[in-house]
Amino acid sequence: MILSIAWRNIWRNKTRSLLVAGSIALGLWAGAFVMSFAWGLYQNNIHDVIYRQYSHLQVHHTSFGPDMDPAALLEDNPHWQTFRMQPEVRSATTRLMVGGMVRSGTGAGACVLLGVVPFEEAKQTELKSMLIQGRYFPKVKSPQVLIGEKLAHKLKVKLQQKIVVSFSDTGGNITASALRITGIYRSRNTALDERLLFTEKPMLAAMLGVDSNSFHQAVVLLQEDSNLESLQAGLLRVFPGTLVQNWKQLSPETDLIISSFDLYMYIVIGIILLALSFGIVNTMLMAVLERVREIGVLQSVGMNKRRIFLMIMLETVYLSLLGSPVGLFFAWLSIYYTGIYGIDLSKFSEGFTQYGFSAVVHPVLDTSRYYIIGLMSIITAILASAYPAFRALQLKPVDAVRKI
Amino acid sequence: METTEAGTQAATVIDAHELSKIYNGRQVPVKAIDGVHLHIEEGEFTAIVGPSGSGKSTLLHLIGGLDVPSSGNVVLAGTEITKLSENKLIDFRLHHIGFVFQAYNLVPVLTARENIGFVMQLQGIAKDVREKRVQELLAQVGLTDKADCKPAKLSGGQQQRVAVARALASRPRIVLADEPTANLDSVNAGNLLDLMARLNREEHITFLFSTHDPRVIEKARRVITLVDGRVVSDQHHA
Ligand SMILES: Nc1ncnc2c1ncn2[C@@H]1O[C@H](COP(=O)(O)OP(=O)(O)OP(=O)(O)O)[C@@H](O)[C@H]1O
Ligand SMILES: [Mg+2]
Repeated sequence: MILSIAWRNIWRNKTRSLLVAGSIALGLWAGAFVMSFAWGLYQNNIHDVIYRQYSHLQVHHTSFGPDMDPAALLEDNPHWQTFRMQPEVRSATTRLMVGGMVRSGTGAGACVLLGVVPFEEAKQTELKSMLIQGRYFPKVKSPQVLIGEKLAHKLKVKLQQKIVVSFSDTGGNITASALRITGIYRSRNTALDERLLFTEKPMLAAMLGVDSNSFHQAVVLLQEDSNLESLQAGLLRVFPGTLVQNWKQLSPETDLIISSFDLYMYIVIGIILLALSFGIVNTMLMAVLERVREIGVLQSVGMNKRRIFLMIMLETVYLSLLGSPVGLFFAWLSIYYTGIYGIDLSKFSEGFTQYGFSAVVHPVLDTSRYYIIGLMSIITAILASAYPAFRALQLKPVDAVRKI
Repeated sequence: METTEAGTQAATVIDAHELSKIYNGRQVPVKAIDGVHLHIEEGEFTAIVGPSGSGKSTLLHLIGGLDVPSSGNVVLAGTEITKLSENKLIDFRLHHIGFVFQAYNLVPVLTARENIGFVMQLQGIAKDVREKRVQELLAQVGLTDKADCKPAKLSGGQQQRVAVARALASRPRIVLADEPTANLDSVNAGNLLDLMARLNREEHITFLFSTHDPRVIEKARRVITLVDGRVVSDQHHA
C-alpha cells in the first residue's frame, strides 16, 4: 500500500516530478557518455601502445637492458616456430636493435636502429600504413632506411638522401654505415618518430657481424588480451632464462591509467549525482511541506514514523527509477552510434597526435558500468530523500492537523 | 462485532484527571485547557461545545494522544496514554482511536475504498477480512456506489462519511471527531450526525465530538460545555 501511495504521490505534481526525473536522465546520460568517451580515448591509447609500440609480448636477453647490449642475442629455435604458429597468436616477428647516433650533413641525434623482417613487421606494427613518403622497403641493392617525419625535419633530409648511423658492434667497436632513405613515416607518437629508424634485418646483422638468424627482440601480437598471462608463460618456456614481458609491464603508465580509470569516472559520476541530489532534496522538501496536513492525518490515524519515512524515500526512489533507465537508454544509444562512427577530434585539436593519441575516438562502455551507474543513481536518491523524509518525521501531528 | 458490556456495567473508555494544557503564546501563556476532569463510558454519544477558543480542539487532541498535556493524565481504555512513548502512542492510536477532522481527512491519492482499507492494512489485517469490512462500512455510510472515487470526486458530506467509515475501520474503542460538520451545509450536517448516532446505537461505538452547531448539539445524549478551558456544565439528555 505504501508502495502504491508513494507511486501515486509522485504523479500529483506531474511537471515537477518529470522535471526531476528528466534531470536525473540528463545527468546520467551526460555522465555515462563522458565515461564512454574517456574510455574510448584510453582504448586508442592502449591500441597504440600494443599495435604500434610494444606488441602484447616481448622477449629479450636478460642482459639486453636499457643500454641495449648488442651482444645480448637470442637464437631462433624450433619451439619458437611452433609457438608463433598457434591460433592464439596473431602475428610475431624478430628484430635486431641497436642504439647509436644518426647524422646528416646538417644535424645529428640519438637513435635506435631496428633491423626488421619487412613483411612480418607490416603485420606487427602498422609501420607500412604509417608511411607518408617513399615506399615500404622497396627491393634495392644498397642499404636502406625508413625514418620518421620528425627526424627528417630535424636532420633536414629528404627521400633518397643518405644518413649515417653509427653504433658499436658486438665486439664493442664503433661502426658507421651510410643508409639511403627510401621511406618516411609518421606515427601518432612524435617522440618515437624522432628516434626510431627501420632497416632490413639481414643488413643490420651484417653490419653488426652477427648471424642473420639471431635477434635482440622477439615480439608477439595475440588474438585476445585475455590470455596474456598464459601465453607469456608459454613464451618463457620457448626461451628459457630470458626476460619475457607483457605490454602492461612494458608500459606501466598505460596500465596505471586504466586501473585508475574507474576511480576517476566514478568521481565524475559522483559529482553529477551530487548536483542532482540538490535538486532532489529541494523537490522532495517541497513535496513534504505541501503535504504537512496530510502527513499529520496519516500520523493521527496510526501511520508510524518508519512508514512515513519509507513513503517519502520511495517517492524519491521512484523518481530515480523513472529517470535513470531513460538516461541510460539514451546514453547507450548515443554511445552505440558514436561507437560505430567515431568522433574525429583532429578538427578540434592538433595536440592529440603529439601525445600518441589517435584522433578518432570510439566511445565504448561495458554493460556492467551501466548497472553501476544506475545503482549509484538509486543510492543517491535514497540518500537525497533522507533529509526531506526526516523533515516529515519532525512534523507534529497536532500542528499539522490544526493547519486547515 | 465488538462485545460491549452495555446494559450491565459499562466500561470506562476515557478517564482524564486534572488535565491542563498551557500554550506559550506570543505575549502571555494561554491556558487552553485548565484542570479538566472527564469520564466517558463505553457507548456514550457526547458533544463538547463552547465558544471559539474555549479549548474544544485542544481537549480532543489531548484525549487522542495527538498532543501532550502540560499536567494531568489521560487513561484511555485502561492505558495511561500520557505515559506512552511517541512510537507506542502512534501504535495505540492505530488500534484504539478513530479520528474525524473538520476537513481534509482523506489521502487524496487513494479511493474511498482504499482510504477505509488503509488503516486496517496498517494494522496488518488479512486482505479478505479487510475487503469484507470495507464493503460493510461503505454500505453503512451509504457510499457503496462511490467506492472507487478519489476524495476530489466526492462532495464534502461524502468525504466526511468516508472519514467516519475510516475512523471505524480499525474497530477503535472511541471515535474522536473535531467539528466534523463544520464544513457541511445543514442537510449534510444532519445526515452525518444521524449516521454517527445510528452507528453509536447499532454498533455501540463511543463517540466524542466537538461542535458549534445547535442542531448537532440536539442529537447528542450528553453535552459538555467548555469555557476558557474549563468544564462549566455537563448535562445528560434522555
Ligand atoms: N499552537 C498553539 N499555540 C498557542 N496557542 C494555541 C495553540 N493552539 C491553540 N491555542 C489557543 O488555545 C486556545 C484553545 O484553542 P482551541 O483550538 O482548542 O479552541 P476551540 O474551542 O477548538 O476553538 P474553535 O471553536 O475556534 O475551533 C485558544 O485560545 C487558542 O488561541
Ligand atoms: Mg477547534
